[in-house]
Order: sequence, then structure tokens, then C-alpha cells
Amino acid sequence: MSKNKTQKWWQKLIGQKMTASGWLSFFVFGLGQLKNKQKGKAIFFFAFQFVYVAVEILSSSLVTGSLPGQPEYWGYGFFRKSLHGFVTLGETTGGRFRDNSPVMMIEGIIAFFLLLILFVIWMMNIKDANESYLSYKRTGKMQSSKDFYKEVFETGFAYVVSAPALILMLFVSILPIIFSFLTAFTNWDAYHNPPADLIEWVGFANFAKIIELPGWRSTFLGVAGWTVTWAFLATFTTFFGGLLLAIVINNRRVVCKKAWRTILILPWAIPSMVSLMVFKNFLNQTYGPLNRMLGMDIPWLNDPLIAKITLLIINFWLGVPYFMMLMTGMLTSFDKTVYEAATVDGANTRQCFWKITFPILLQQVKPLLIMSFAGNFNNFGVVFFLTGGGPRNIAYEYANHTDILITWIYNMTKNVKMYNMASVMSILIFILIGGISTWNFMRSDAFKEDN
Amino acid sequence: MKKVVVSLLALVMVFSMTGCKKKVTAKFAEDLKWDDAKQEYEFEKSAKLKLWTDNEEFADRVIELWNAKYPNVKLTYENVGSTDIAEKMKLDGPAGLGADVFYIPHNGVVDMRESGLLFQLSEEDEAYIKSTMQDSATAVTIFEDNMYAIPSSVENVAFLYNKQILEALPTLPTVLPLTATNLLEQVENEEIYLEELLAGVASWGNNFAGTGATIPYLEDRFESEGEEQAVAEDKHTILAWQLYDAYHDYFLLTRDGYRVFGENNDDPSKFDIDSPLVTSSMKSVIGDWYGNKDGSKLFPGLATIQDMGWDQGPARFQKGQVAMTFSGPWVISDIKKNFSTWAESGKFGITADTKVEDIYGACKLPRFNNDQQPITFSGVQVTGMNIYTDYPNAAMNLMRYLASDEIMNVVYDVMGKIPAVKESASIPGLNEDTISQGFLDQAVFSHAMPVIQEGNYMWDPLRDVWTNLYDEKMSVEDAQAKSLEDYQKILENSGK
Repeated sequence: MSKNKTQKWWQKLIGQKMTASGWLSFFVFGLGQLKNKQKGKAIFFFAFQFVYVAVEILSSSLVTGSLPGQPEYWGYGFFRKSLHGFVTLGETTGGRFRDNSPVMMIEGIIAFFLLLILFVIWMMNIKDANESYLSYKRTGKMQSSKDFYKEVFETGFAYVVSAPALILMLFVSILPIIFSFLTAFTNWDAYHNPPADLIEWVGFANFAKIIELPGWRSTFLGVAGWTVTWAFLATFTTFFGGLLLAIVINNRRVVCKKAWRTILILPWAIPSMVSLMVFKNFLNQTYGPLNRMLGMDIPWLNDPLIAKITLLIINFWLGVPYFMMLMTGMLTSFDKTVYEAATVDGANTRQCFWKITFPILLQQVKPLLIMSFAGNFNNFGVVFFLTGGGPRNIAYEYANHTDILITWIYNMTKNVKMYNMASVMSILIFILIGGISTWNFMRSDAFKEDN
Repeated sequence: MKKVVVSLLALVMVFSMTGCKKKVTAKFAEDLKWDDAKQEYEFEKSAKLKLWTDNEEFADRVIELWNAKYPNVKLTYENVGSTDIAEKMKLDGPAGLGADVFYIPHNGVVDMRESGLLFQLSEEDEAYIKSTMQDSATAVTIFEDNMYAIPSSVENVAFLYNKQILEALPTLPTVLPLTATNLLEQVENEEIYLEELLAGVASWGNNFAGTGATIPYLEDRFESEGEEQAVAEDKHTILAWQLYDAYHDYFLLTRDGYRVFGENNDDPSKFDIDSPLVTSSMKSVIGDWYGNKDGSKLFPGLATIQDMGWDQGPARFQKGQVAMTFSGPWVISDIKKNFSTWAESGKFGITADTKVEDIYGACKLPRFNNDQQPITFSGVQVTGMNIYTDYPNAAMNLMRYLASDEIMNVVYDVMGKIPAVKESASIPGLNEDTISQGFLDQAVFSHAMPVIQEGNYMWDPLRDVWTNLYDEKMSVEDAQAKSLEDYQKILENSGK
């Protein structure tokens, strides 16, 4: 292990030093292994190169034939065509049987991933050729392929079994994220409408729009400000509300604990969309039963400030049961002896709570709190079904007073088809949430203990 | 959702890469093979078809009929919202996951055609469809002389009223010669102008108490149905409709000849919401109600125009709580579904012999006081064919079948929609149906929702001209100017 410290970066990649075997493997996978008289390994590595080259040749116009007058790049093999398509995003327009920019973009990403895998195998193959040769020089013994596989299986078992899952993740989870990420750098909108139209790379033009155009800038700042405030307050209120309820119910003087818990958990058990729709009608300023019952005319959902408070209250109603159950579970699992010891030492109830219960709870629940913050940051349902973003704000672009970033994105994609701008917003949300969450997670004890 | 679709797309491509490359079988019209003897296209071997629509009952019926006729070609269906189809098809189409045939509203045709997803009909099919379907309905499917979809049903806003209530109400003052003895006759004899109707409703404070009349079955109208609804018992019960919606408010702008995007509704440079024709039209209809939030007479106590949506307008009309509304045929089809349960419980005095037409009526909107008929939007439900289909012949046969009288019957029967056919006599019951005839009367004074890309952007500015007036308390001219500014901003931002 000690020699690792002095290793240069390329030594990590290809082994101690380049040998003749290494050079052979550099050009043809497995050739160095063949020279090292490790036939099994040689076949293993060569198979990769063979498959990749075969795919490239079989998918090119040499094998598949070509249509009269087709553009030259349609005849390239899969990898070259995909990378070319990724850079140009297509040249012929017209829908089916022509270039489809988003598909070309995805194909480009897939080709890139596959080549990345190939690169890793290439490097492994060179490193293996070098190190086998060097170890032969040192020990005078050549490890057989069979022994090698055995060794790999024993030492690198974790890598072997997780490789398929990792590769699948690359395509199922990472690929869509990169795809939507890259959309932010294109002009994909209603007038560049694939598959019939092509889209183009526009660099950072969309980001510049948010900074430069006053309408966009003020909307972004306004909406982002409210989103952060909302996420913070929504999390804060539900957390402390839940804590309070849990402690009250947990108190030994409260009777029928189970009944209380059952009643309080009910809002959580009803589909929130249904309760939100009911609330929307219930709070209607003109017709709503609430105003009529009160005999008042309160703009529950029609005044910018009151609508925001209403949102927080309804979210409280929806979100408190979750935290209450969570806290109850934790409180009942607490070690009673700690409290007994504290009482013997003369601590009163308040001290017991603030010095023992609360710190322990907070430490355990902190990661969940961060998750809940991120969840509220993107709490589409409550805003969309209750206020729909309203009341109207005539100074904003495609957003209204209670819109948070995620509902703004929805408006942009659904109503005006600005996929590029929506994607820019997604990236900004990602940076915001990702940043805050990572920073918090790193500080939380739960994270530290995991390491 | 998008993430799921994209990942599926990715998987499909990973598979297609490993050798089973998708075969190209359809290249527009030249791939279609007509079988003269059978009068249909030659089905591909082992063809199977998928249909996207949003009405399960209708789809089941179609599948049943299709399977009876073509037992060898399996037809399946997925429930997809008609307005979501355009977006979904953009990703699913090229990935080979899309339906072969789908139902969309006609203003989705422009977006799908622009993005190259719709199969272009052959000249023979075009001629066939033109011979059976209404001209105004086929017009919205034609671009640059090519047809891209087949009309199925037409719908537009009309004036809907509850006959029981209107019969009990006195006539309203009018400058027209009056022979009617109650409001029902007055409306049906067209003895009132729209402005007079609005003013009259305002003079009653828009509620039953203000009319001084005894409303029949009042206790049935406001009985609780056990669901928590915003039921204001006596607020805006004479006239209520979806104010906060451009589709339902557009007619108020048309008095002096304003038409969105020009005479043919296809010139993006003629949004013209700031036109003096709009100013005069708005000023004529608003009277003492619209644009005067605090002293609004027609909707006294309406806090913001957003407050009156579906639940407060047509939904209450369906329950018999509101006497009049401006809305589309979907309101009636919901009523038809409830009708048998009402008959069982004897609600509103309904017996097994009572027809929907005895209680509810529909007719064209009352004229403006310059004798112009208000112009409403109309919509056409159309069937489109996925250009990425593997079975163009089979799919084309399905398209043609969906336009046949057999299915048109189902459209009318099951969904209560008005088929877009020329010969209404070929649909049993349609000509005797006074409600459908009422919609058809107003249909003459309707124009299709614009079929240009800008048509998708007009809705908010068109609606907000009223919001500006009512909620932002702007003057009519300022409201128009702000609305135009919003429209131009959308164009600018959307990449035009």
C-alpha cells in the first residue's frame, strides 16, 4: 500500500510502467496477455474490442446499405454516427425518416457511455498486461488465467457483482438526468419542435436570458425567494407541530392515546389531492362555506399574503401527522433510565426535555428534516391544486404570487412549451437543493456516523 | 413521467442497437395498398392496433364493434387525456411506444403536424371524408391543401337553461316586441338582447330571492349530497358560468366584429386585442357589472373572477341550482348520466317518462343589441394517425372505421357528443334531440379555435383582458393594452 503514495496518475491507470506486453494490448485488446501466455484473459479482453468494432461495422452503410442521396453521416457506424449527431443535432428536417434531434442527443449520450465503459476496459487491459509481465519478471512465475479469475472473484467480488447494476444505473438513472440537463443548452421551444424541426446548441444563451432580461430576472428572484421561504417555513412548522403533538400525546396524563393518534393521522391517510380540491372549494372567497360560516369576506386564496399563509396552514394540516408519528415512534424508544437519572440529579421536566429529549431527537431526525426541506422545495401538489399559483401577479412571466419554482417550470413546459427555459430552472433548483442538502448532510451526525 | 419515458426510450435504443433494428414499413401514402374488392386497405399480416382516447366506455364499445368486424386484428386501448397526447406522442412516437390512432382536440393538430407526428391522408381518403363530414369540421384538419386528421365530433358553447326555473320567472324588460309571459318563452322566442338579459339578471341581484318568484322544487335543489362542495345557496343562482376562462368569455368580445387572428383566424399578426372593436364590444356588455368589482351588479359579492370556475358555474347548473349558464355539450352529457337516479328518487318531480329535454334546454346565445349574433369558439374532436405506426394500412382502416356511421352513432349515444357528419339524419335520435339542435343553432355562429401555433398562446391574454379589468381594476383600454403586451411577450420568449 505504501507505494501507492508515490504513484503518478498514469501509473494508477496503466500500471507501474509501460512494457512490450502493455504496448501490444494498447493496440489490440488481449494481445499483451497472449504474449504473456494467458490465453483465457486474452480472449476475455479481445471479446470487448471485437464486439465494439463489430457493432460499428455492422451498423454502418457497408452492411446495412444506404438510401439514394442520403447524407454521408447516415452511413457511419453507430458510434461515429451518434457522436457526430450529438455535436450537430441533425441536419435534415422533416420528421420520420429524417433527423430527430432529441433522439440524436440521447444516442450521443449512450455512445459516450458505452465508449466510457470501453475506455475503462481498455485501461484495465493495458494495466493487466503490464503488471502480469512485471510480476513474471519479479517472481519468474506466470499466473494462469484460471487463477487470475479466481483471485479477481475473491478480492474484487463487490465490484464484479455490482457492475451490472452500475451499468444499468448509468442508462436508467444518469442518462435521463444528463439529457434534461443538456436541454438547457439548446433552443428547444414551440418554434423548434422536434421531430419535424431540428434543435440547436445555443450555449449559455438561456442562462444569460434570466440574468439579462428584467422580466425574467425579477420573476426568478421573486419566485426563488418565495420558494426558499416556503420550503423553510413549511418544514419548520410541520416539524415543531408534529413534535408538540407527539409530546403532548406521549404525556402520561393524556388518556386514550391511541384514539388521539388515530384521529390525528387521518389527514395523512386521505389522498392529499382530494383534500386539496375540497379545501380549494371550502376556501373560495365568494362561495366558500368557510367565509359564509364566519360571515366574513376573507380572501383566503385571493390576496398574495393571505394566500401564502393559507398555503402554509393547509400544508401544516397535511404534513403534521407524518412528523407526529415519527416523533412518537422515537420518543417511545427512548431509554427511560436516562430520565430517571436526570430526575435523581434534580432536573425538572423542562430541563429533561431541552437537555435530553430534544438534542437526541434532533440528531436522529436531522437527515429527515433535510429531506423534508427538499420535498417542500418541490411540493408541486399543494401549490398546484390549492391556488394554482394564484393570485395573479402581472409583473411576473408565466408565474403568479404563490408559484414556486417547480410549478413555474410546469407552466413553462405545459403552456408555452419552453423546454429549454424549464430545463435551466431545473438545473438551478438542482444546484440550490443539492447544495443546501449536501452541506447539511455533511454536518449532520447521522452522516458522520455512516462514515 | 418524462424521466420514465426517456429511460424507456434509452432502453429501446439499447435493444435496437444490439441487432434487432426496427424495420421501416411506412413511407406516407405510397405504402398504403387499397383492396378494391373489400373497399378497405389490405391489412398487414399480424397487425395489431392501439387506440388512445380518454373515455373508457366509448373505447370499450369501439373495441367490441371492431373485434366483431375484424376478429383477426386485435385492437387495444389506453386511457390518455386528449390534451396530453401531443406531448406524449413527441417522445413515445419516435420510440415506437405511441398508439397507432388517437383522439385529439383539433387545436392539437397544429402542434402535432408541426412536429411531424401526423400521417398525411391520401387524396382518395380526403375526398371520402370531405363527402361525409361537415365542411367547417374538415377545414381545421387541412394544412397547405393536405389533410392530417379526420373529424369525429363538434362542440361549441351555447346558452343552456333550466326550463323549470325559467318558467317560473317573470319576463325581463326589453325594447323588442314582447309576446312571452315568462322568461322561458322570452328566451326561446328570442325576445331579448344579451345586454338586456345581463341587465335584467343584475336587477334581480342574480339570485332567486331577488326575482320575487316561487322557484319550484327549491328544497331539492339545495339538498346536501354528502360531498363537501362550495354551495352558496342563494348567490349568483340565476346566471353563472366559467368567467375565468377565455373559451367561455370570448363571445363577449365579438359584438362589433372582432375575431381573434383576423377573419379566418389564421393570421398571427392580427391578435388585435387592443382594437377599438373590442373596446366598444366590451363597453357595451359590461354595463354595471363586469369591470366594476366593488359595485358589480350582475355578480354582487364576487371577490375575484377566479372565484367562479366550473364548480360554481356549470356544476351548479347540473344540480339544478343555477338557472342559466353558457357552456358546452359536456354539461348535458353529465346530466344525462344522473337522470335515471333522479327519476328513481323523484327529484325535481322527474318520473320515468320525463326526458332530459323537458327539464333542460339549449339554444343559441341571445343577440347583441346591434342585432349581431355572439360568436363562440367551436372545437372539433379529431382522430389522428401516428406516422411512426408499423401498420399503416390497418391503422388507416381503423381511421376510416372511426368515421363510419356505426361509430358516429356510438359517439352520439355513449358520449353524448354531436357527430361531425353532414347528414344528421343518419344518426338516429339526433334530429329529434332539441338540446343537440340548440348547440347546432349556435354552431353556425361559431368559428373553430385557431389552428396556428399562436393559437396555443392566446388563451391567457384573451382571458386576462377580463382579469385586468375586474381584478386589477384597469380601464377597458388599459386592460386591452396590457393583454396585448402579455401576448407579445409570450411570442418573444417562445422563440419566434
